Amino acid sequence: MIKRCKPLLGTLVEVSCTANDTATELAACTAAFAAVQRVHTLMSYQDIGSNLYAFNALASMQYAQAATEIIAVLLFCNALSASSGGIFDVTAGPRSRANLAGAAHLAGRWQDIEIDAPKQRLRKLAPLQIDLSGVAKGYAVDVAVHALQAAGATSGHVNAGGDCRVFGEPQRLVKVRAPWDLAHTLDLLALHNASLATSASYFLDAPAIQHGMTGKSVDPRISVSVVAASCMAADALTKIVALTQDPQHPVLAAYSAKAWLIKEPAHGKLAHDGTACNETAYG
Amino acid sequence: MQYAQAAIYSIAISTLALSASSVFAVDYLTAAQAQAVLFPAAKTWKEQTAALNAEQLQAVTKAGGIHARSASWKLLHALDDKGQYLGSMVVDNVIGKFELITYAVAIGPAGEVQGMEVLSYRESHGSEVRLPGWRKQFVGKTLAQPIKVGNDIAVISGATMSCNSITDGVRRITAVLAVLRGAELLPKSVPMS
Repeated sequence: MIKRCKPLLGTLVEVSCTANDTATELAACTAAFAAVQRVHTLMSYQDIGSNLYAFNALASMQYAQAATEIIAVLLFCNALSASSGGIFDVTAGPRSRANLAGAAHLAGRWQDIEIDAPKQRLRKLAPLQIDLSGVAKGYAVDVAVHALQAAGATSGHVNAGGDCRVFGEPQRLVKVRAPWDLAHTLDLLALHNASLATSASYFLDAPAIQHGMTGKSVDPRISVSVVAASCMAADALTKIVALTQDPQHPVLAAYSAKAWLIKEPAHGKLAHDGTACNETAYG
Repeated sequence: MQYAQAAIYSIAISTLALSASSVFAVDYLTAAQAQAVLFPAAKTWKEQTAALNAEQLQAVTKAGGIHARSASWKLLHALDDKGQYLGSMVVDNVIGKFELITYAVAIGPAGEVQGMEVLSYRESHGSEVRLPGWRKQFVGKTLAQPIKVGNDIAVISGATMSCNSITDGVRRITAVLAVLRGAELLPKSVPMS
């Protein structure tokens, strides 16, 4: 088993795998990092050179060619926006930031992104910008896992700043930071061929998640974890649970996902008997 | 759905307890493994301790837009089977808000970053991060003597932590190498005696 780590996607990306020999393991990890790098190059909101940046800079009604990966991620996002009634919206972050900065109003919403999948192109039907920060890390983890498997890894995991996916034997214990005491972790579950994503804003100076409809942001003292088959789904669903504060949100079922809303117990330490956990740390 | 069942059955709610550990630590590649990954064509390695004078330290600050931090830098020069200079690897530590990261960066003959690997990650949220003693334990540590802090971790999920400290560290090392190259203190891309 080999474990490597690189700074990518603005965070530390950890890749580990087991294969027949060390050379295969090293090469598989290299392929996984390259896959993550490609997602970064395509989908970074900030990087001037990214495919997404070019689209965001474009005027409304103009078609832009988009990479297959961006089309795939946007199709997923728009389906989730539809099923969540617009709570999840990849245009919400840029709209709220533009409003705060007093910049030109970005009136467009997720419905105003026209995705022409057969022709691999996109256009805006109204002024908008897309920020894929809420799913790109999860998506990058998925493609990294596929790269590991394609390169001959029989088991392993990828963890991109809290969004992780494990495959093969054995199952992995996943711990989650206690959002009210970052020095401590909670043993959340043993993950087996599945993904777990956690979203919270305790490391940030400003709240990161905005409600697609109300523009409201999330309490920094809570964290949300979601387990799902794909890390992209897990990542995106954390935003819906964080914004609705509902770990049993109906949209989770469509992705066979399960969520935890983790917050500090109201009285003293987190109870070990589970009584308090039912109210506080478990949904 | 197998994973959903696994999730439901493997979580006894009563076990959702706070871990006693207050320090996260994980080791990745060793320095020797990083050398092989960053410079696969290297056959021999030459060690150099470069000492920067005051003027050169200022030049680093100017070139990198970042304080040079140290006057003494240990460089590992990679040479191929013909003795040709392939580039240099530098192992460095950076301290972020809560974390100490040891990483290796590979700088090519023309000064470009060819790659980097994080070698170890130590995290503490206690006040000891601000104490010189806690920081001092990492100074001069080689990966041959890994620091053991608690047990090896499982996967930790949480909010995304930034990697700005590494980005700054890589920029600093790039600037140090550029200044050394300018002063002709690095090997050139010709066979070395």
